[in-house]
Amino acid sequence: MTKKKTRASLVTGLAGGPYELWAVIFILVPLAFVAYYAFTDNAFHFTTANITRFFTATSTVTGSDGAAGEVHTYLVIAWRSIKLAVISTVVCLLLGYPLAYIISRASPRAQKTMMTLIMIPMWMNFLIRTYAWMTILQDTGILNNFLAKLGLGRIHIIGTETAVIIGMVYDYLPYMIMPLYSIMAKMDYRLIEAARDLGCAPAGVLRRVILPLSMPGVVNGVTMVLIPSISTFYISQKLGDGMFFLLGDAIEGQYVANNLHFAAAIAFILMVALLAAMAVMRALTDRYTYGGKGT
Amino acid sequence: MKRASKIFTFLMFLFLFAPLVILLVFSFNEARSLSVFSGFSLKWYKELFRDTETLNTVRNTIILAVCAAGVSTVMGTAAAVGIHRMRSKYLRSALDMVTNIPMINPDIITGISMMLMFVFASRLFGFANSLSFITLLIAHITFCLPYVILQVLPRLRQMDKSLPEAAMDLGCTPWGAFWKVELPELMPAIVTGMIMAFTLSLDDFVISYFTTGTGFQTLPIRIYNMTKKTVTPDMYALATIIFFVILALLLLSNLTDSEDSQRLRAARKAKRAAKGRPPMDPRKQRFLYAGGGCLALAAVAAAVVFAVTETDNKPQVLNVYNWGEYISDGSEGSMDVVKEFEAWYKEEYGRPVQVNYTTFASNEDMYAKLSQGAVSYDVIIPSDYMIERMIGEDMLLPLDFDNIPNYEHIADNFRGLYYDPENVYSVPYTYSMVGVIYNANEVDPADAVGWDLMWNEKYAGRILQFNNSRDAFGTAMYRAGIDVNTTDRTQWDRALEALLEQRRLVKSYVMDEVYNMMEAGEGAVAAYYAGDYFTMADAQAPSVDLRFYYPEATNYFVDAMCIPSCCQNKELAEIFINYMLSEEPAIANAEYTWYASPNDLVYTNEDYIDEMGEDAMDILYPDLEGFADHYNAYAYRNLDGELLDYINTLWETLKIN
Amino acid sequence: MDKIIELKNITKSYDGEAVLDDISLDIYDNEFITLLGPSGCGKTTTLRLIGGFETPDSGDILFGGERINDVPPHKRNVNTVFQRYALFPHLNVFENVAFPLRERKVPRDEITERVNEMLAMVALKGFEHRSVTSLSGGQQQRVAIARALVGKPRVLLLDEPLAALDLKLRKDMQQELKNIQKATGITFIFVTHDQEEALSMSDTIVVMSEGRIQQIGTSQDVYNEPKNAFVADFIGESNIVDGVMLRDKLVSFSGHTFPCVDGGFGANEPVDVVVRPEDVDIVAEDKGMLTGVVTSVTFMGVHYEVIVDIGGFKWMIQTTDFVDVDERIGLYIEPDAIHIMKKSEFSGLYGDYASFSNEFDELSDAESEGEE
Repeated sequence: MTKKKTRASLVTGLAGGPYELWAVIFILVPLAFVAYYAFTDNAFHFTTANITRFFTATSTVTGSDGAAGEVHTYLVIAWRSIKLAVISTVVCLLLGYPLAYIISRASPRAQKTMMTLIMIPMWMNFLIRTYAWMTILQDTGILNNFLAKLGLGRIHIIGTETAVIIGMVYDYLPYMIMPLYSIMAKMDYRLIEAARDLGCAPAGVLRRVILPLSMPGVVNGVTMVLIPSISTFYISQKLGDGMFFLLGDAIEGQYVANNLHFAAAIAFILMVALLAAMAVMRALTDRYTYGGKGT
Repeated sequence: MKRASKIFTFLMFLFLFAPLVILLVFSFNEARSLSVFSGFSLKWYKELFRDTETLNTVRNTIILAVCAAGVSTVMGTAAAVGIHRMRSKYLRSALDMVTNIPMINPDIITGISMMLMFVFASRLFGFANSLSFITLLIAHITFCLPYVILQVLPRLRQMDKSLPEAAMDLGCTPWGAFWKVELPELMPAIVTGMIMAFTLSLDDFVISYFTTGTGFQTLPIRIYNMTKKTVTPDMYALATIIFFVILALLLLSNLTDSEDSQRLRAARKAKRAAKGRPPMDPRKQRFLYAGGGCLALAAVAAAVVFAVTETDNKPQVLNVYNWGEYISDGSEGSMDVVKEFEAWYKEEYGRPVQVNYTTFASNEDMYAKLSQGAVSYDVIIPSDYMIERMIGEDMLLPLDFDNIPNYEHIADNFRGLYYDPENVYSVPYTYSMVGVIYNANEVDPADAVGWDLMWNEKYAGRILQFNNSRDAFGTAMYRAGIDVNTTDRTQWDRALEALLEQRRLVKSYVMDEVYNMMEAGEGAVAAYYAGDYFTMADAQAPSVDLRFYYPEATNYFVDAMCIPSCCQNKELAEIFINYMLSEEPAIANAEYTWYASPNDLVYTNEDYIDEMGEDAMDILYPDLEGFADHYNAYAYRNLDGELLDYINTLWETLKIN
Repeated sequence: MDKIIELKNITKSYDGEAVLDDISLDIYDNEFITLLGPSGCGKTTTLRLIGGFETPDSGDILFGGERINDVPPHKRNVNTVFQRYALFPHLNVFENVAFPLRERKVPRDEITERVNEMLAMVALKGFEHRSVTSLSGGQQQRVAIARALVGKPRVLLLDEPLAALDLKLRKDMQQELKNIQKATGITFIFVTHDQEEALSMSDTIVVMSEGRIQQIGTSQDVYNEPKNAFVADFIGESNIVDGVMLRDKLVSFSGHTFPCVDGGFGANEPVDVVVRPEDVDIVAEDKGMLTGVVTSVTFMGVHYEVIVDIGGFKWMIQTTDFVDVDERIGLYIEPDAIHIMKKSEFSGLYGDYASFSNEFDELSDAESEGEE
């Protein structure tokens, strides 16, 4: 029996081995480097100054009422990033969820076509796509010219939070739809009929059957949108008129200023915060979905 | 579908495709503008196919995506099988968690973490250029792997466990059972995973930005570095072509997949059977599959070898690192300087040379890459203050001017400038000054004086300010008469006050976006470089009338060619620098960049003067009398790290206000 | 007949839980042998040991006299029909059946010939190019059988192959399998939890419970002479009551002494007494050996199923005579209808119909189908 067992584990080892090695060297070790840089100064001596700086650095901000006040620079930046990312994620969810549902209930052929259509924009470079949005949204852009022609007057979008959110939603929407769709496509629609049969109103069916069943998709979708949108720096630069300074901008700025240690410190804090948030979110949704078990 | 959901679906797809329609339309624009459509033309497609540098980056991007997708698919599938069969629950869940890390880590962190490791490894092992195609490939494989694994693993778990057993029962070895039964079953998941990996790799910018190195640049990075002249419509043309290629591929795969074709295939088989021939031997089919697989693998391997040898092993390679859009590249009938140099060199020296031309977005960007010691370049073209800093940090090599006889054409005004007082390390390439550009249809010419226009309440919400700290602070400091190189922090604080005061007047903080915004009339006032004004005026909308003037005190910059200490072939680098100074390429570059040239072969050339026109010459080449003094008084100088850090925090303060 | 497979003192456990506990079994050439037992009794594990998908913790498996403990599945001259058929979804019917032949590099013409022959045998001619996923359950079943037989194995293992089919189809397939076995002369080792199926098809039945073999014998043997209460209860319906063997051919139970045909027990030895429901005659109350009150009557088509309370113990009786609930009746039992068994660990666990209901039986049947 030992002979066979060792052969089986050898096969397993051969299959998984290279990946295990890869995962350690190229996933774990680099993260260790982030921590290492975050906790050292330029001479690679241990310090917590970088971390402290993130939480304590202040600057004077003049409010709209003209009153000046001290704020924690990076906490303000972090708060803004989180706010925009959360709004974008919620919008993605609100738009993506019904669309994924509609697609999942279409004929197989239509499903395939629509999912392909959703993937297509991802093949265009996202820098270019963002540039195209500038053309659409700017004050003399396509959208405003269109509105003006209709006699509706122009609206100022570019440079506002709305523009940044549109950019993020646009870029990350497919990442929301794909996991939602793949869960919904597998869903057994007899369950819905069963729920209706048992006296559930359509709203109740959504809340008590469809939503819990699609929860894993929601969690995946939210993760896949929230993560990139919290750290973006290109979209905010281009569509935010350079008015929005987000965490991604801060990290990139420190990198370009050759402040690798502080850049690593911001990255480290962001990473820890995100891992904690993910853990909490998964724990909560697990409880909600299955009363405690499963993913 | 109900009516409401139909409308909703339509609107969503409209939203998803609106930008693609814009790309498509503007790729046919006659003018350079990405906001004003002035007429139908195919010229950007012609440009694209002539632009060898862009095509190179497209090729690089595809090679990278193919390699990354290929390797991560093979390794990821093997990993999924390994994880699936793993007996230890703890090990399995630990590996599951690690696999998830690249997915739940923002790409900026993945990028930075890998860069830190590569840089460290290169210092440890003494590689000259640790950041290269290989590091980029490793990074891409790493972030693609989880997507493949997470596609394949669930499929494995769903698969009827008795399938491989049935195969073994019927005479397959365990290995054979995997190939003949499990693998075909996993194929759809593997293919999906591979397509995802390919897509992600193709579209990735952030991770590449941090891990790319010498000589291998991808398309997203090239686009990001297009800061000197902004993104051009040939990029839109490229996107349009990609769109149609993909559409065609998808239609094709849809066709071959559809029921019709299945019926067709069935019919063909039936025909075979009717003719008394047995159905195709699946061993033959397997052979075809295997052949296809081998071919794909061979293609991957070949691509790797090809790419590696391309970048690393050719005997004569010159790595040039320059700003984006800062050399005449053959567009619109101009001279393709890099290509011409290669041809000229071969003729002159009888040996081939290959120039790897890569770009950066800013001095700091370039400095960050070079100072980490993870790259190797032969010629770089930084700005003055950066040259001063690099000389101070021993990052540049003294030039052997015997190899650069054309240096004699550099005007005296550009010798002995502060950053290189002994003329040892640098050869000036271009120079220019910052001026104020305004839309005369909106701005009262009487207001167009000095820096005050940028602070004029009348034009609130119409002003564009630099989106980088040094230049933005510069405008405030010139205006207030503060030395832009002061080490007195209170002076910098004063400048910040001025910028804060200006902030509510500012429409936008811009870099290359300035082109589109000024051309379209999105903004009315902007500070930018003299040469760029002409580029904008060239593409302005009918309702816009751009004008330009210099404030009395303003920034002068000189960009110069230097040889960094990581240079691998100094003599070749010097030959290249000398070539850049010779008449034809020097004029071509000056005409392409619209910046002034310090080379007398250029600014005294009649054809060049004619080509530029009188107005342009006046603006580009203001009176050079006493240039050195002026320059030394107003140019940016290198500031020490602590002060830069301080300025950076001031900048962040401005930005979060 | 020659022994083809011998299992010698096999034990096997998963995670410390014994699944097979010292199993020894001889299987003969050309035999239709059925492993019968409830889910979790170890019958499927036994099959997998023979197939080579498991290795025993101790004990030996011999095939034609040779030890094959470490021979991998693909080198055993044994094929399996899997519970859910395990057809290869990426291959069509023809290719599924041709799979083992291609594996053995049989010449192409011969493959075509043998596959067609097999498909004809399982009545699937004309289905060669159909995708296996488009077939009905019964058709898939036939493909699985054809595929397992085309390589001419010495032994065919069938793991609950009929469990997923509906009743009518199952009956047809039972007959067909039996015919195929006779026609090919291959040893069939058949696993099922359905005792009726086992009785109707098998030459030999191996009744298993909790990892042990309870009884090996022909259908008649295990039905008429069950070794213990478990076998008696699992195969057919049984009233099992405590009794005392007074002497040979005389047994006392339910407060009455009965003549019987069994012997060989010690004097006054406590025993389990089995009486099949169809062997009890209903007579007038005063003429009965036992008397009781009818508590329920169910019409079953051919007969009535009557539950009678006799001194607190519920008997099941199958009769064609109608009786009414609450009626007091007498029971008469012939001596050869009384089967005496030694006391075992199963004594007292089975044979009382106090909580009997048809639905309950069906439910537990359905549950066990899903497992293993």
